[in-house]
Amino acid sequence: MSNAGHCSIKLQRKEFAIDVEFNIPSRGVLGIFGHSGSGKTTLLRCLAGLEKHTQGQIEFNGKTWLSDSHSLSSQARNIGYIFQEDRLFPHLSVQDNIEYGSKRCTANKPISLDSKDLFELLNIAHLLNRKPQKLSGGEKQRVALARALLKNPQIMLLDEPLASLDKKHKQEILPFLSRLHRELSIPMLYVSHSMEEVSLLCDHIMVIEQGRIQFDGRLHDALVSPESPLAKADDAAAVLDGIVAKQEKGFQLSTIQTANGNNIVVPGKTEIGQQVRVRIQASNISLCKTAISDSSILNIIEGTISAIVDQCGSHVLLQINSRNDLLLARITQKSYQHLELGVGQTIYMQIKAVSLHST
Amino acid sequence: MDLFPGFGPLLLTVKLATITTLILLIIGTPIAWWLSTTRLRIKPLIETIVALPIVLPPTVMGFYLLILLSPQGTVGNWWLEMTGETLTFNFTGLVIASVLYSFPFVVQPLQSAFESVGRDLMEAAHTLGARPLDAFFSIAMPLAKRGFLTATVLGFAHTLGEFGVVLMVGGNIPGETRVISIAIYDHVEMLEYGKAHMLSAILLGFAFLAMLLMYTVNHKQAYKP
Repeated sequence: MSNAGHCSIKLQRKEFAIDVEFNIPSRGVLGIFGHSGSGKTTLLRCLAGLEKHTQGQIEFNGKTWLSDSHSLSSQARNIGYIFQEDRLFPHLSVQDNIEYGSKRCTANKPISLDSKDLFELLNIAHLLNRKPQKLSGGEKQRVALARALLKNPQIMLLDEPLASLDKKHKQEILPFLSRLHRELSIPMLYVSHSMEEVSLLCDHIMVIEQGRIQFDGRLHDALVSPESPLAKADDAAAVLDGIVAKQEKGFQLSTIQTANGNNIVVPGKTEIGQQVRVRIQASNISLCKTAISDSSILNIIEGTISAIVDQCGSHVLLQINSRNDLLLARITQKSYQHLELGVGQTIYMQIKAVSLHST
Repeated sequence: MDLFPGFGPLLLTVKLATITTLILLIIGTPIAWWLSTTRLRIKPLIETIVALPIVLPPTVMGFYLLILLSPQGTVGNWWLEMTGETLTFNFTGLVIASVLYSFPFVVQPLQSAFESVGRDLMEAAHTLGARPLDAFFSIAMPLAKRGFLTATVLGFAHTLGEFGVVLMVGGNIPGETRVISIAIYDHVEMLEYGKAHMLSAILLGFAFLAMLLMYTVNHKQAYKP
């Protein structure tokens, strides 16, 4: 993946110091993952020019945002920023809120977004004349997204945009974000402490702890490689990207085919040909040494144990390679010994279709 | 010109209060904004200075102003050299004294209104391409409009009623410094209770209506965002 920018940032805080260096991809989503208080929001604010005392260097699209002698103001950085709270202007209508940015950024090069299409996509066309106070949490955040996108930014910075929403509203916005990701030609930086959001949206991921980068790499690697802190998390999960190859309308099931040729059945009626990402939690995979034919489980996939990621207490976390798609399976220590498993062993993974989430 | 005995002082008072309030809004707004956003350690000191006129006896303030503005004082002397006029016992001096006297009544409501607007929306405006001044006029000012109404009413009404400072700095010159409160005092001294009644009633009525307007509008807006 080519890069659009580079930054090395230092900022002293009371509790710890932010000290990071990383590349900004030219497109796709870079997830910034960390627990609350790890400094990820501060890092995003430094990029946006909202932290006055930031030191270091930021270059983006050939422009210097920050150097030793100079700091470009937020308004000149050409960013689209989504805050944790919607931060809509309460005295302006939804329409005026959206135009606030677009009016002031007429010189920006359009990122091929038509306002009508976007209102349609975000389902906010019917809200334009309302005041922000009359909107639900999910609607507010969608308006904030439209407002940031229609100023034609060169980069989107999203700070936990779903954190303040309940589960229902989250499920409302997540698909929009993943569609935007596919359709936009600009990079997005996505700060989150939710493994689920990060694994469903991002292409790249940076794990932040105490203001420093612990891991920086492709999302697929970050989720399954033994060196990554994410693979050892309780809710460890792998993701597979693919396109919908088959639909069983009567059963409301879709079959997703990965680029490597694996087929996975998931619940839902997604259109054939559409790109989707499936998240498979390690604890939802069970292992067999032989292929069972009379099981209720729809997904039985052959693979080879490629690494032992973690071994603690009663659990063993295994990395399994199936046609170069990497997955994680968490089984008990007891089963691991009973089945006499080990690296290099061929194995059949059973994945319950009903346990799968896809976007 | 003199429609009724109190018309001269009344007109002068309204003129003084209008000019004072306008000046206060112009210089008070940036000071209130600065106070609402600064994290400097000298903030409490500036706030104390701004608030002093609330607790200081008007005669004390008037006394210091008299010394400062008199032709022998620093400011008065400089003004005399610049314009050939004195600052004591004339209208200009009265305006300066009133501005200082009513300062907290304009700055404090503005400051608390700006504080309730907060930094968050201003940051959002900046990320949407608004320069600081643009964001101030398009976001902070409209959201602080209740504060502006309160500041205007309090600044105006407070200037209307000033007495001690005027007496010290301006004296009692008809058409120049004889404002309504001084006129009332004069009438009472001369036992002209009828005239004192009329002027007092005008002030009372005005003060009541101004406050009523302020509370009504603020109350309405509080429930209709």
